[in-house]
Amino acid sequence: MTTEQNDPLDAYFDAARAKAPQPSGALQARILTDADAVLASAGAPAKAPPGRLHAFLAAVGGWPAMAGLATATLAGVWIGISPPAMVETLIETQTVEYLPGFDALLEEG
Amino acid sequence: MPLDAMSDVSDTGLLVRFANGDRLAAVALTQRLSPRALGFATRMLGDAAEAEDVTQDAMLRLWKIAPEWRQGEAEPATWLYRVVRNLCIDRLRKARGVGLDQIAEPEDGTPSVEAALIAQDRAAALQLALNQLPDRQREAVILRHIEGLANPEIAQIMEISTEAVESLTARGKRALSAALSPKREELGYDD
Repeated sequence: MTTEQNDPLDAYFDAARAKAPQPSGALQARILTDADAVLASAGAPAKAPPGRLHAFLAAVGGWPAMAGLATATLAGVWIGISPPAMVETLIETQTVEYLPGFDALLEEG
Repeated sequence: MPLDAMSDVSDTGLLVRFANGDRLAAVALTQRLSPRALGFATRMLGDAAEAEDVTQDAMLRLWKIAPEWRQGEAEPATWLYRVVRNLCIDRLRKARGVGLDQIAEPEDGTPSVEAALIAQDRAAALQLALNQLPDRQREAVILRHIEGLANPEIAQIMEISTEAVESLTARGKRALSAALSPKREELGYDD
């Protein structure tokens, strides 16, 4: 290790560091313009090849169709787990008469 | 990722992000690395406009090499310093019209150093004294004592041994002291 304390040059090095040149806004803009050009020339990053999900999505009509399908599925599951009151009322009160008027035939008369 | 959040990302991480199309990574790298490149180039060349051109050129080379960057090989900052150094040497050679090894010792420029000392502008006096050093001594002194790099990193940048860096910085500092000290004493400038 060198001992650099009290080195008369230190005051000069300190002064130089204090006056360190800073890139102007114009220089930074030039640098970033170059970066943009490199990005543009490289094109968009390579995309992953289409897999089974992409094939399925293409078959059902893309993400919008998938959203509708998901909504319908969730609604069905929810009604199954927690049926709304109206649905329960319908289930409880509904009576089906398969042969209306059959009772009348059985009546004596 | 917002720009502020990139302060925790390493230079290499930013370079990989840029290679993947992240423009904000380019902004962060520019803010981080361009002042260092500009500082080194300015002191090497002693010319602000040329130093800006070198900085832009070096950063452009960084953008171009980003897709091929192999992690673990070198730090982007070290790589950039090396590119700046080579670009500066090219410009100095062209300006002098001779090979680097054939460059004669610069002529005595002490009147300028003296003028800067009279003006009590230590930074300017140092720059003028640096301009008088042989290129390799100047590189080593700037990287060690102004840019604050460790000798092993300087050795990587200059592609020489650590011992050679120590030798160059020692010789460079002796020459700087010789250029600055007598004039300081004459001017009663010591403090």
